[in-house]
Amino acid sequence: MADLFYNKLPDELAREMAQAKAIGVKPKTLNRIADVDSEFAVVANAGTLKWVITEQGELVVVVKWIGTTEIAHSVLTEGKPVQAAGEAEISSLSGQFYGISITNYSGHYQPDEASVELGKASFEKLGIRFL
Amino acid sequence: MTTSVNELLKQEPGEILEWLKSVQSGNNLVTNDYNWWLGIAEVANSKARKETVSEKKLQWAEVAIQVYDYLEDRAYPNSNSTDCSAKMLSVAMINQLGVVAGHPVLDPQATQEWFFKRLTGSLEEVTKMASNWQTRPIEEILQLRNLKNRLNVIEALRSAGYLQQDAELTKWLEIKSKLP
Repeated sequence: MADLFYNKLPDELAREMAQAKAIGVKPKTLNRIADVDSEFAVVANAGTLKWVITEQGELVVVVKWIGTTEIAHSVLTEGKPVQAAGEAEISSLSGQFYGISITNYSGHYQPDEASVELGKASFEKLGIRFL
Repeated sequence: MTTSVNELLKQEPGEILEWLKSVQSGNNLVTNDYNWWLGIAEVANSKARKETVSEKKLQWAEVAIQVYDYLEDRAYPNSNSTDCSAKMLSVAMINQLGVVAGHPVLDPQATQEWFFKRLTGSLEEVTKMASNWQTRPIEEILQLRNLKNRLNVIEALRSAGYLQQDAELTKWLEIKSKLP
């Protein structure tokens, strides 16, 4: 199993979770190809995504901004450790998904560069290949 | 030695701005780790939104924006993640504190100028690229996605009523749904 990364900003978690609840944030877990559906297409086409691979190996995503509010990575896991984290640009057209870019950007988990490859592999299992 | 982000962020925003100055002037050595700096920006961003005292609120926003600007030059090639984070924070501050013409954070005009300055092609060129984006090289697709992310900032500002009707901007907003 990959090394785990811990939330480096736990003091903020309660506030982040309360804010996410107030604006109705709903992270989406992508376990199977069937999860990469029209609902996910709407999320992906909205703009930048934040993603994590949880300790259990689940890929969870959320749109980076809801209105002008930026959603913290810690909200995707309720502050629990992750195997990898970052941001991604994914677009959907006519039922096809295109991976445009993926990074390990996360100030909360501060994951290393290996996150990018782990992220790519997880999305690829779902049929989303980064070009 | 790497300063703890948590300890740093326990300070007042004015003190952190002073610390940032000393880092910029080379008097204080800290890590170059991108995500370490991003942690400071993310928390300062969040504190700016929640702070109730206007002066402190703006100071937190300045901390976040200064760090985002610092990171912009250190990001993956063609990433505009922190650039957009800084501008989304500006929009949030304008929503909360109102417009101040000429202010680095609270002037909507500055965000509009930022949008036009970042354009890499004419509306006609971009419209043509968008019509078959899926067949284009990845660099061009990313360029179009970055434009979409910047249009999200403009849309947020405009829908809050802070940008005057501008025919050119309207045309750019109209192609947003065609962008990857």
